[in-house]
Amino acid sequence: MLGTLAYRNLFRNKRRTLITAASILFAVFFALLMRSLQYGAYENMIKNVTFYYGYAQVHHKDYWKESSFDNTFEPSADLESQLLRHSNVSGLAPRIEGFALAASESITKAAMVTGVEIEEEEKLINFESKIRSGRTFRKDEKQAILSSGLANFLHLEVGDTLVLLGQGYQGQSAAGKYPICGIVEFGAPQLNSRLVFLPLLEAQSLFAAEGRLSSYILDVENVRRNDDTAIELKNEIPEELTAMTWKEMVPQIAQVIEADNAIGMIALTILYLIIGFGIFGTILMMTRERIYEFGVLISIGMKRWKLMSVMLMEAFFIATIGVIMGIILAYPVLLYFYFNPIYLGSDLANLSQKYDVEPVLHFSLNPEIFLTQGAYVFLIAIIISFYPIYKISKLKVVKALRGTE
Amino acid sequence: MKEIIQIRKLNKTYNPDTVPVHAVRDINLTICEGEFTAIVGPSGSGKSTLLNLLGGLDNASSGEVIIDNTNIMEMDENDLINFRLQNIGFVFQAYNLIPVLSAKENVEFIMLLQDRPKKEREERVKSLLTAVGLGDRLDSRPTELSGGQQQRVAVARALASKPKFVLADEPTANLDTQSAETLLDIMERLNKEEGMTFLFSTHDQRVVNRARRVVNLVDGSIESDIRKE
Repeated sequence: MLGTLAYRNLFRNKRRTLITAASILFAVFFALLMRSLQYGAYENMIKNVTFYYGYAQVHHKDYWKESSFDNTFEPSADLESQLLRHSNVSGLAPRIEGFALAASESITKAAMVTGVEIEEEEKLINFESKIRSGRTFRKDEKQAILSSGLANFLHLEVGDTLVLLGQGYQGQSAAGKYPICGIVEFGAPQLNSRLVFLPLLEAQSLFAAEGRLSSYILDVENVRRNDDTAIELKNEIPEELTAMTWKEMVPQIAQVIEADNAIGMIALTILYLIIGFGIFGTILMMTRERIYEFGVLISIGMKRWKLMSVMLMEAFFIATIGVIMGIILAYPVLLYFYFNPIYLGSDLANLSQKYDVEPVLHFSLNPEIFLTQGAYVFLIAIIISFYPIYKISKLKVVKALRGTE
Repeated sequence: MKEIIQIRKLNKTYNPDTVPVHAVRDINLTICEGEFTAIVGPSGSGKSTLLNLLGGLDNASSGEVIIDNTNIMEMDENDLINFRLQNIGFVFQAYNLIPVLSAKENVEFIMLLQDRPKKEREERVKSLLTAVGLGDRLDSRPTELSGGQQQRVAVARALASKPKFVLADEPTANLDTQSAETLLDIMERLNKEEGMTFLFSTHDQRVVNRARRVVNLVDGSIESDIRKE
């Protein structure tokens, strides 16, 4: 009967119930929109970083401080199997990296040359999907893939020839001519403007570093365990090597995400407060209108806790309806923007590229957002509903019946 | 007759520390089983305060209210709520039915609070609503009933818990003559046929005319206590 009473009370003042449920609905809707946009941006930033750096890398312990060929290492089957034995490591890709001057007919630019085993990279980062034109190279080909920013700068297209000139291992000169087989596009502007990919053997030969690697890029099963995985690997691999996560390699991205997340939480808190006061207003009105009725119910023998449970059930029903409707309303909007991200206009695009941020607003459909935002708003509504419960606990029956409570 | 309410030296003073208002002064009164009593008096004479004290809705400044050998002034709030549920039926001036429940459910509600079995509830609801002349309006919501009909449902609700007595605060104040007469007929019949004790606070002459005992309050004190033959 208490449940029936609570349920029917919802229809007693339909407008008030609707206003309260709508307040909750909009709180959930806007919270989801904000959070989805933020998470979308973070996920994209992480994706752009991890696309090149991977979630974690194993390299010489001094390599990240001084990325020279002196700090490369010789791989071994033992090391590879040791890395793959870790429960969270599902794959690895060897790389050698070095800097060189990239040149077309009349233009030059400093570039980062990365030697990769394309089959392994494909498993890790779905290289093929980033190809804008042309194709990837085979293991034994003497071909190059250019990032689109660098290709544009050098005015090079698929089929043209790229000239690389630099310094290799132990001071040897590094020079080579490579036909371009593909142009690859990265989200991160800084990476997009300077990367050249060669087959691993070809890059090792260019830099006179045959049999040597700069790093192993690790693929991890569970991204949330990434930090722990790196710590565990550090203790297992040979002393001269180390494991680093993308947060350690590109700390500025992790810091930007952390700072932005804090700002987002402040904005969300303001949203919660505004909506919370809206809900509180309707709950306050409802409580004032029903004080007399509370007095009557207690007079005729209804225990206060039973009356409180009716109020809690009412709040529960309204909050559940509001949260579910908010999610139902927000989901198609987020789904649309997930598949159709917002591209920023040229001025904003230039500005965002200055800060090495892709000029696109991505949205996320991470279930965590729906769960947490739905739960927060639900909790806020339930907390606010403690006002009538407090009033019932303090109610003086005679005053309530006289209308002076 | 068995005494079911004994009031001894009952006092209620509002604002005792600032401007004291003596709503009830030194009242001694005994109500016996089966009585049909009206407490009358002008506005501010203490009728409602006395009824609130009898119903355990308010605390006395001093004195005792003994119902069935229990001094309810010594009970804590939880015990009082339970005591009211088991022993006292209430009829209020403004009907005060639960608007989202039907007539049947309003009457059944009290018995649900008492955890009575379903079969007993169903039978009693039907018999009570039939007794107050609303056997054909079981499923009507309060908004679908007239004021008089709502008050009759309220009487049925007050009786549903099988109380020792019914306290009715100005039960006819909001009713037209015909509805008031019908309501009084019903209460009188329940009193005579089932021996239910009724205690009214009223200044409605129609109620006073029907009452078999009239207690007149003036300035919180009993001025007269007349039993009609």
